[in-house]
Amino acid sequence: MAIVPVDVLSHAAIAFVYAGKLILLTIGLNMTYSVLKFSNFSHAEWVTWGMFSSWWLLQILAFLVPWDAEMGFIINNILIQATFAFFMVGILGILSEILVFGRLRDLKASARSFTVASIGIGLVVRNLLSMVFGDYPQPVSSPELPFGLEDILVINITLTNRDPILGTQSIILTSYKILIILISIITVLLIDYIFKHTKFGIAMRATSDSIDLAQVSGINTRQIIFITWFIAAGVTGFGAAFVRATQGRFGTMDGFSMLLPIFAVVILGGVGSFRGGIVSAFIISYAREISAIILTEFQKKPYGLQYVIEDLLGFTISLSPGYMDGVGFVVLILVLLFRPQGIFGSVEAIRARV
Amino acid sequence: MDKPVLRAHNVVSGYGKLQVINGVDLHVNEKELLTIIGPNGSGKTTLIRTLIGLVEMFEGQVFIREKEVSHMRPHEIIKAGIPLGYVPQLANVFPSLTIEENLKMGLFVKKWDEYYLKRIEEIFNLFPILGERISQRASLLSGGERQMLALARALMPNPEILILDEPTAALAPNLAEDMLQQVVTLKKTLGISIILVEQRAKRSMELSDRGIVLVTGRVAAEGPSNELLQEDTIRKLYLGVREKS
Repeated sequence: MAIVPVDVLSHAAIAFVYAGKLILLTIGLNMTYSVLKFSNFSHAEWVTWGMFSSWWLLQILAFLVPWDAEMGFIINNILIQATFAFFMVGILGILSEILVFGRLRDLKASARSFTVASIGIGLVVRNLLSMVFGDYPQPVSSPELPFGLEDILVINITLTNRDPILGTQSIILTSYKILIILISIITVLLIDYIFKHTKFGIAMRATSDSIDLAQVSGINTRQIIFITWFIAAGVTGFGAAFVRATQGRFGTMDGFSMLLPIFAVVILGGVGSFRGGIVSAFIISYAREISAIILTEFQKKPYGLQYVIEDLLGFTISLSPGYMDGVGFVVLILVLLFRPQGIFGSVEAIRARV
Repeated sequence: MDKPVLRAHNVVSGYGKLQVINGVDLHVNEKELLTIIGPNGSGKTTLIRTLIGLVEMFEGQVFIREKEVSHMRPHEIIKAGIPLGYVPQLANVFPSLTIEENLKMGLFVKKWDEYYLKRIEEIFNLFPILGERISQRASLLSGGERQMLALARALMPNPEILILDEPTAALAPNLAEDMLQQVVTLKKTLGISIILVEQRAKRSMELSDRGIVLVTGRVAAEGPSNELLQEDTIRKLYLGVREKS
């Protein structure tokens, strides 16, 4: 039986795009993590709500207002969808501050209470979405890209095709997949600049260090916290609209399924380090993909490890590529053993962890 | 007659239902060092935090330079241009910010481009070591250096009144004495009024102009420091002075 070589390049391309998604969805969590100092688990539902609001809510809105061709063009434009999602998820962020987190802060609740409350908010939002839209992912079309980018942003490289030794080695990246990488890096650099070099960014960091001292310096900390929620949630919604555009279907569990990798990226890169998030997103997604390749090879008959073990021990264990997320976390743990503050994190950021 | 820079009438404050300050009157005059002493839990910190809006005031009034600041939130007081500097006991610097950023925070409500360079020279004259380490994070400073940075930040807006909450608390004894001397020097060279809350009751009282003894949220004694230092009960109970037998 001939052994089919692995299409390494296509796997590399898949990991590349996954890294882009992670970067884009991580920025908001990194902001709340470093400024508000707790693990916001409702971040998962920010992603989901971003996907739903960018698609369904806009469709519904367009249905309610008199429809014409012009309107159809507007709501199918990705920039409109992403901007709309920015505001809708931003509002969700502010609402959770007003209804829950702000009250907890007034009561001087511990970070643990914040985290548990955020799990609750996430569940409520997810269940509300299930009630309205159902549990099963529904197929949708990709939105349009402006300026003819759809045709320009395509990478289709085939190095070898059914080569006797290398097999097929090809990279196929379509518009949204390329765009995700570009947008994620631009967004990180922009947020990083705001955080480090603007007066508003310094005020955010000051508020995160000490609310009392920030107040007596003249900072309206309540305002800063609101804006932090709005931007962090908004950027997540913006990213979620783009991530959705790469998928043929989406459902209420999409955000939750990405939550753990998103957390891993923030912690591995270092809380408060947005650029660190870029590097760690690539590390995590390549670790996942490489392990997926290896695990797939293990399952191949007749020489795969799974069958070798079966022959030796007389019972079957499954070495499914589905375990790749676990491998990503093994990498995370290994790095943290040597650098507990993450790759680019500062030592004092460790205090932020819950 | 001396004009008070800050005066407070019948201040009642606390946390939620817990009343900590039970009707305190106080004032601090121009170029005066007022020391507030008292046993642990007497409400010293709560009192000064109430004056600047960090603790909710249930009753009473506070005026700084004849402008009423009662019930204003701290950032509103600063935004209103009230010439006030405050150094809390704990968390007195922003650890993740650099020294330069910490100093800029002292001027948050002003235009940085315009004011920072104007003020920084005087600050570096007072605290030369800060100038050498301007781009270092505050978390890397030693206890004494942190305290210096905290003072420098509070002095950035050129305040007329400085409120210090136990500036010697985290310092070794020799550094604590230096710090108290520095407070006196600041008062003299800058001509500002200072409210000082201190655990080192006797020493701080010796250096100050006037003193207040706070017990269970009430003023137990008040007067010029040299008079308070002479009173037997105060010497025994609050200044920790043992009479020779």
